Amino acid sequence: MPVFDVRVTIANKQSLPDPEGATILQDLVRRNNNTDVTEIRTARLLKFKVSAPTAQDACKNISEMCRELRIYNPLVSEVSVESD
Amino acid sequence: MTGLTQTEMEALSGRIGRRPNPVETSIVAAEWSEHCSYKSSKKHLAMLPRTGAHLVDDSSYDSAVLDVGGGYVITVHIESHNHPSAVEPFGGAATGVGGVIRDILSTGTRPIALLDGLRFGDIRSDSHARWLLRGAVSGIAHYGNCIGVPTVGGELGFDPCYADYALVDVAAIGFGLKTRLIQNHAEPGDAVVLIGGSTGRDGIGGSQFASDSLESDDRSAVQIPDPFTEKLVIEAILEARDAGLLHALKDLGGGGLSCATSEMSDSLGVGMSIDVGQVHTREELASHEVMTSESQERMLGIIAPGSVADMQEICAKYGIACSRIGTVTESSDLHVHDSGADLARMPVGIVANAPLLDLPRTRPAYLEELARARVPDALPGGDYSASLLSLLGSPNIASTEHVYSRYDHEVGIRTVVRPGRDAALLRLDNAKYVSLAIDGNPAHCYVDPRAGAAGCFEEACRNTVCVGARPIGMVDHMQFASPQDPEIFWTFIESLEGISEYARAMEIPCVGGKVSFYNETPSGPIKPTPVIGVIGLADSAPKNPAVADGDVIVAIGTSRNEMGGSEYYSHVHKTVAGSCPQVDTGSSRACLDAVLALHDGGLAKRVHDCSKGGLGVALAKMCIWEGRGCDVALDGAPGCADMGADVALYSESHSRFVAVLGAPDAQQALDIAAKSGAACAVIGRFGGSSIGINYRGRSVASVGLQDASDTWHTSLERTAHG
Repeated sequence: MPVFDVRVTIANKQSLPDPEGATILQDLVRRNNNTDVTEIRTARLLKFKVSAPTAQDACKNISEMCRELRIYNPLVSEVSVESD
Repeated sequence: MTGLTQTEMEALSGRIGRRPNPVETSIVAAEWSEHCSYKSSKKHLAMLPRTGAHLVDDSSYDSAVLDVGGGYVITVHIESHNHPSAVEPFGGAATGVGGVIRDILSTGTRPIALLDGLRFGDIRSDSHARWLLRGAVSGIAHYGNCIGVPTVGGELGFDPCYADYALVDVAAIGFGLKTRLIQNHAEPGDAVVLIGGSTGRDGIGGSQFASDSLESDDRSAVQIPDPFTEKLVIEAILEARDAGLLHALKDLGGGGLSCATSEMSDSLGVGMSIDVGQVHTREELASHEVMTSESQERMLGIIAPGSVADMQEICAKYGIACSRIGTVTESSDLHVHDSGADLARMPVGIVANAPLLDLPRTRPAYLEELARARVPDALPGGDYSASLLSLLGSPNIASTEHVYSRYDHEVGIRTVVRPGRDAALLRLDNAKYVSLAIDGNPAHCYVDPRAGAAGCFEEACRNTVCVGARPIGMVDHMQFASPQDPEIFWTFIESLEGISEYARAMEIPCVGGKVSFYNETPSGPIKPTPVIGVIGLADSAPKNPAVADGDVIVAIGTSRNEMGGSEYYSHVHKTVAGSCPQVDTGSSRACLDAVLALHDGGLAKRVHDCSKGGLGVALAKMCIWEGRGCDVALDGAPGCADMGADVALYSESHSRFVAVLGAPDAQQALDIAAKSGAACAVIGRFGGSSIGINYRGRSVASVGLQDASDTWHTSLERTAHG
């Protein structure tokens, strides 16, 4: 069975604040006069290597696994799962 | 969602003489929620004694202020964040820490320590409870460690009644000069400023969310913690305090601006005009959203109109926002407008004072069933080695090092007694030491809410004297299910009466507290869970001389057959039966005094109180801590001679301690204890490599020290990781 690279990105929902990103923006980026940057959002990136019949199956399996293991809280986080 | 009942809507309309508009309704709904108004409990909280030698009496503060001498004060507060933590444990627990820190800050004192009391479902069988535990611990570690306030203690408990739920209690201590306390006052014309984080849609309706059961929640009230901003808020506020800019200060907690403005106006006897258009927001918000958002890391200040620029300059230096959002007025109204367009105008006395309830109460039926429950038989053969080892691995007894090692408990270099021992002890600048212990026991409170609550109070006092501090004040945190259920409300009143009776008898004032109702899940109400924090003051820290083989072990206090709600029955026999331990205030005073006298005389090398698991577990923990075995004759302990080995080992009677003394000091220690009126006896000695407990000349428990130590140290971590 082929092995696929699957990337899971977990970030606070867009409607919720992201203090870490805001701190990087205010205290690092803006302080160096990068005024063209208007927002920074942080996220956690998990990289999986997974055997599956197709890339679509790989994404589906990993997506379900993350949900079952409560790797993120759906109440707070939005998640994207993608594969090459 | 108005959040007001029909009766309340009619009461509000009657009081203001018209129907409130939607913005007014949402402001009042936030303030009249149970969380903010204490409408079910306020009438009864008056029974708690509130005067004491150390208490700085000023009801305008959000936290208790205690004079500790030398021109210094400490401040103490306790809060919970149960509902938010039950749906988002990381953010809920973290913002709970943030909230209590701001309550300390609002008096003008610097937060110096945090304690957390955490309760979850049975982590042995419930993977969701394990997820909640991991999330809450991560949230507390994240917030406390980022902000540089040490987490110095607390407690951790598990009970199936908290399945799919979490109790997250946070207590904090502040310290400062008495002359720098903010003297809350306001003059008409003063400016109202909002300092700190920006206002957004996160946390809208949080106070009403906390006043509903989770069954009916819409799960919209998630708050995002931002310790980086809060650290800056602390420093900016303390600089403004030193510059004398702050006339009054209040934390924005439940109910957001609605509650902060109305409560502040009401306590200062002034009106306020608030322009929602001036509030710094992070997104487009409707007016009622601005007034009820519970976005974190915000403080409401009152300053002289000429000081606004200075205040903004200080905030700018720390990179935080400071908006002038309104003016103090001569009227008694809370007036809310958007750049001049009226949105709400109501007398603050009406907004800040919900109609109080006097709810009915009845003795719960389950107590009759419990009274009939059969008490388990003594174990055949009378060998309790396996049960003792098993109890040491019980999640309610095992070492919590796995949890507290994730917290920075040293930052600030005040910590003298670290987490894992009876109470936290911190060094103050006036050469004194302050202690804080928080204790709850839902198992006892379920069997007998009155005796159980008094017992939690006594346990916190016992833990306080174990580190050589004398109790000077108490904060109570009353956590119950719906007060609308007469049986639940009965347990609340019983608990409150138990606490009040003990406080009066021991002359320890209630200096602050919190009531949290509606703690229930679809599977039912939680057990009554009052948590009591006791603040102690000591002139010196325990010297902790080395313990050696041959040192004597002394039992202080009388054991009784009080197995109801014991960890032994629930963990080993999976049952609840028997009578709950009762607090005898005379014995309590005698034993607490005896322990303090032993400390003062420099006689006790160690003192540890008996709580969950009784004398058996107290002795085993003492051996594990000291890395030594023991040989003990348990029938020699006061009260133990005729009760049977199982009861002598595991009864959880109050007012008991185990002390370690050098052999030559034993007689003097017994004389001191006798002088205080405490029952006291030498029951054995340290030595060997096993914990050996005998009863009436026969070995009843013998556990290898290494086995005991491994079980106690590693069980919780193994269980928590499923």
